[in-house]
Amino acid sequence: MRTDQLIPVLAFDDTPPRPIAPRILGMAGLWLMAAAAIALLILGIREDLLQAMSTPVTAMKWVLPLGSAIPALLAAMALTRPVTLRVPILWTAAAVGAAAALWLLLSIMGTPADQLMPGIRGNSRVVCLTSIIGISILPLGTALWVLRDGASPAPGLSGACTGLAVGGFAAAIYALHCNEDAPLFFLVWYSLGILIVGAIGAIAGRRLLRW
Amino acid sequence: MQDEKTVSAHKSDWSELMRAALHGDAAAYRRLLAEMAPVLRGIVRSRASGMGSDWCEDVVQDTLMAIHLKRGTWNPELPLRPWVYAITRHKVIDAFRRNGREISMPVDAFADLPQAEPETDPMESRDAETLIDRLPERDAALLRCLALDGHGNDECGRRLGLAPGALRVALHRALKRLAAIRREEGL
Repeated sequence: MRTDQLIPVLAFDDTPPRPIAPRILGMAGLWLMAAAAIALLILGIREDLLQAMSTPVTAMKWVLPLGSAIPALLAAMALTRPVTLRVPILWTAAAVGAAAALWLLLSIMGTPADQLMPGIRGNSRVVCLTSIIGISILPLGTALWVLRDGASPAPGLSGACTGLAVGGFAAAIYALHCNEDAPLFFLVWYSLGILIVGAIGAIAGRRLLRW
Repeated sequence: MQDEKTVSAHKSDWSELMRAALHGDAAAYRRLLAEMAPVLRGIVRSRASGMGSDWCEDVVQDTLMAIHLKRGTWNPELPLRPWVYAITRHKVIDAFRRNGREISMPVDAFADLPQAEPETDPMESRDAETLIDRLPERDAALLRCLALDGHGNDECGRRLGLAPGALRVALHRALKRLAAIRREEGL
């Protein structure tokens, strides 16, 4: 096939390109809400939710995951364009992550050695990790599928951002159920859950988002 | 100076043409792609010294297909040329990687795009028939009819028994599949 044979064929294809951002928000958002509904139907919502949300330390269970998820989502959207060289919004997500890490470090240092491991282990780490990852799978798959229409300059990074975003939203949803409010617990397990989903996104993105 | 003028004239033209294309102006789109091809060829050849002209033409075609399939990722409020360059850069780097080689390309060299020497299109080296044969039968028949036999969509729709709407869908899908096959070829 010569190039001058290819050009008219491309011009014949008048299927308009589909916009990416609204479809990610719509489709992945829909799956996220569906997964959230199922998870919360099984797990239940904590009874003292409003009180927990108005307690500063406990409110961080929503502030931190959403504070990294929203910039990560914006970064993933920016990275659908091949001309995007830098995504400064990622520094916001990184700053939130660094704040969480610092807080975890301070919590570890402020906890007596014999209470440290029980404090980290808590009572619900398995449910916590399973839920965050479980809620994330379908929305993450959907989001990556939509992102295949994009032209990412860095497919792995795009996938990672998408994973961190979905994982963060999933953690915030799980927090509606979870009543373990010790920073030592949620800083470890929420972060780990979000990072696992981010890693899944990065690995899948490297493969799925090549173009 | 002369060259610079030509380049900046192109710059606005291309964005205008693409805007028109995105609003459904097929003739503008065809002109845009035809104008782009020699420029892309110039960029690819200037980067790919040591690779044959067939190899370069593969990359030019990969780039044209990506420009087509990814045109929704261009922000119509920005000039088209940097976007075209970014797509080309990606495809050149990808093609070198398939050959097990690394190449560095400046990220913002679109300002001084080399102009290609006018000459007839060389053939691509990967056998198009073989690539098209790897598509599902109907996709292959459609592309063969449109590209290799050079018939229009009405004629091809009649031959393949496809209504215009079905042909649109089939063509779009076939091009996406062909792009995926081209990407995996030689990995």
